[in-house]
Amino acid sequence: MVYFLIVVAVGGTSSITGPLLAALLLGIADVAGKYYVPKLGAFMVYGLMIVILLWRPQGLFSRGAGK
Amino acid sequence: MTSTLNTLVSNVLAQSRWRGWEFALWAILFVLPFAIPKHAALVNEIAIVALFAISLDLILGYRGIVSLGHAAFLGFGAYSAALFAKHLHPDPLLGLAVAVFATTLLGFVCSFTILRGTDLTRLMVTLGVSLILFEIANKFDTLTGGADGLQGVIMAPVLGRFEFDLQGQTAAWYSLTVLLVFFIVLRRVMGSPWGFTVQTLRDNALRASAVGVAVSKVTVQTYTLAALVAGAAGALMAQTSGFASLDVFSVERSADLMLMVVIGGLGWMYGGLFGAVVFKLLHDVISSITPQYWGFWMGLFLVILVLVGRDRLIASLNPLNWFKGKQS
Repeated sequence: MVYFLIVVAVGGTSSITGPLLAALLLGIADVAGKYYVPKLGAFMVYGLMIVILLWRPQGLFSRGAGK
Repeated sequence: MTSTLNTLVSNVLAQSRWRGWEFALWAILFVLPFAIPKHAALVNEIAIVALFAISLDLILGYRGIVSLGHAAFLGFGAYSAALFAKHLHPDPLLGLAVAVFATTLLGFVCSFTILRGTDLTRLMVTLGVSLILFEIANKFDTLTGGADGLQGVIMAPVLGRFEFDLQGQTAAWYSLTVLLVFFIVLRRVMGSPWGFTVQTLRDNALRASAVGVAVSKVTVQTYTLAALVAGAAGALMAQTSGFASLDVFSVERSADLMLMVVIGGLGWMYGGLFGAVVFKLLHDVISSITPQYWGFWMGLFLVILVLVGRDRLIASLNPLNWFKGKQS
């Protein structure tokens, strides 16, 4: 339910390609996490989201990001 | 010049003065469990939720930070109080202090995650923290009981004298007392120069930093304070129900909480209290009439409240205003 919000927040709200790339990134990370370390479960996506948002609060692919 | 300054100061101070109706309100609240013992459990629930709502109001109403993960602190407080009571010591007040301390530490650590970014970023980071805590409580089922919840928490009597009874009268008075203590302290704190600084940051953080306010420091302090209060609410919840379940971390709880603060009004101490009372009573009344569709009526009420506006809605309920012309 909250996955689409995560994708938009991580991708950045100022472009269309940003969320697309973020969706691919998070989707692959989620499935890879669940495949290789099943015990982690949903931690992967949430943890990744928090780390990325701490690193680039405006989203990964938004213009003028980093501040 | 001095007289202008004096009126200004007295105007500011007048906001934090106790008024007659407030004493009456608290007196009524404390009489309720005695007057209607059948609903003492509901009074207890309202007191806890009100404390929780006041805590969200500190960061949402006073500081202007949106959070969809405030349940993280409620849940953390609940689980630490329950675990402390189960494994170390059953005394309620000691457990409350321990839970508050633990949650304050968590809030301090988490407060650094909300310093940067837009509202959406904060919304998602706070939500993420509560989801991670939910997963931790779910996975470490040897300690937390997992999806079954943490059962078998038996509390000692409050102050060694007042036993928790089945009807919930003691629980209601216990929660109300804690709520009152926190309310008085927080009211004093938010009426202090520091409290006004927090509100300055909400109105214009850039300008406040130009004046010389340490924006990050005050934000961290506010968020930690809010986490502390939420932890106390969580501890009360676990202690009075003798149970802690995964439900305390749920997103719905954070969302409901935001509704309460919006119903009661942002940025004043009674907002959380009134919001919690109205929300819980509506929930109780509507779900006793239509157990399945209470969400519909709740949603309808909220839409009307936001569209019409709280002030006009309250004014239209007052019979004195019905026959007045349209001068306002």
